[in-house]
Amino acid sequence: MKHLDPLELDAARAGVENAHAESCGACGSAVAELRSLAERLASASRIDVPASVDAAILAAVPRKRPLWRIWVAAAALLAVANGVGTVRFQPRPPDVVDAYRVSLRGGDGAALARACVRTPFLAIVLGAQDETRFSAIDVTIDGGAEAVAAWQVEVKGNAQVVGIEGGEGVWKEPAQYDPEALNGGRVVLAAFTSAKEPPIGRVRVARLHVVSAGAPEVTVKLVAAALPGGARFVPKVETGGTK
Amino acid sequence: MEEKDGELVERARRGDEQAFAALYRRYRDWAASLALRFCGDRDEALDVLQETFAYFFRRLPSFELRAQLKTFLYPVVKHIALNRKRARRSPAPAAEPAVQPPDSAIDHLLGGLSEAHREVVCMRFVDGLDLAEIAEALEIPIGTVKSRLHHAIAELRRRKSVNLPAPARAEGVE
Repeated sequence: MKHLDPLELDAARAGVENAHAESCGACGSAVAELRSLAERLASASRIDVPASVDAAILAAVPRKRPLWRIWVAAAALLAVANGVGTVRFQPRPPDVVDAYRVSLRGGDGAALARACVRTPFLAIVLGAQDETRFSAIDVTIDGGAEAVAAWQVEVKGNAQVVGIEGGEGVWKEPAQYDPEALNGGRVVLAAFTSAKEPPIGRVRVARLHVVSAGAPEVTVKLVAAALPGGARFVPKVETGGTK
Repeated sequence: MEEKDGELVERARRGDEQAFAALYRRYRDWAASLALRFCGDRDEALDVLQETFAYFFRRLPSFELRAQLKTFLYPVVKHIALNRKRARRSPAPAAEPAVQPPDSAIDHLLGGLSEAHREVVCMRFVDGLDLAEIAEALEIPIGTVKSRLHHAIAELRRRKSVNLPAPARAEGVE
């Protein structure tokens, strides 16, 4: 009796009716083995996607926009495309979570963190000197019931950041930043800790010293953060303590 | 009745957030497990999942669904996962040998097969793609897919991972 070849066995595994497989013990057994292998492979690669990841992905879904905004976006895209020739698919650049994971594996995470905070200089123009105001702004991160082990934020606004201090506890050392970016309108800060139990809840991670013409308007936006162990996480970032 | 991918894509292209969410939920688990197969790390796999759908959402305005959505997403997941795996190794080459992930259960089940053969077996057995869909996702002739699958199953048999009957003819196989 001629047995089924591997492709015929696979077809039978996938549910294609085959009279031979049903009548031949050897082939029927082989089909069952292939089915078992398929189940074990599926089980080995199964992964639970946390609700926080669902939320982060669906939050990035583009919203329906008024027609004029679509035209503006299209014009901007065209300008970019003209500048670079083609728009290519680019994976996300590394951030502090990647640096933290490298560190957890014994690598030089600090070097990668320094690369993450390199920022193109973005000049801002201050107003009249007699309105110049110096302020300190605290940056706090609130992980709720979770501890934050790595964080990266982007600071933008009408003020020049002229100094960056550390925060409290495990964050007392100043975060990584690009000194070249100081005096510009945008600075990226990043830090991670090797502490086994970083603080839970709201914690001050940095203090920014800024100079501005009039009241400083500074926004601090989360770029990335991780829980101990390296899982991505989205804590709250707040600013305060302006004086 | 479940809405077809093409209908959801069309609605999503018009900015329907519910359609985006439905597509995401339909392919989320599959894309995450595929990413895990390529990068071997759970956290990395979740990052790959995020990047994959961010890319898909960006592409949607000009996207035309010509086959199963899986055949579009497959190379995207693979590309991002392998890029991240390479990037993960590059910053600290000296420390890397100590951090290679241990052999996974998939390695245990398919160890010994070449990468190309493993990939086709997983696409067929785990992802449930048919031969034409595998050919499209990998951009290779369908004959090559048949050949790889044939040899992969034969190799599993040779290694007694799967107890197959005596060898059969390989007619029609390239």
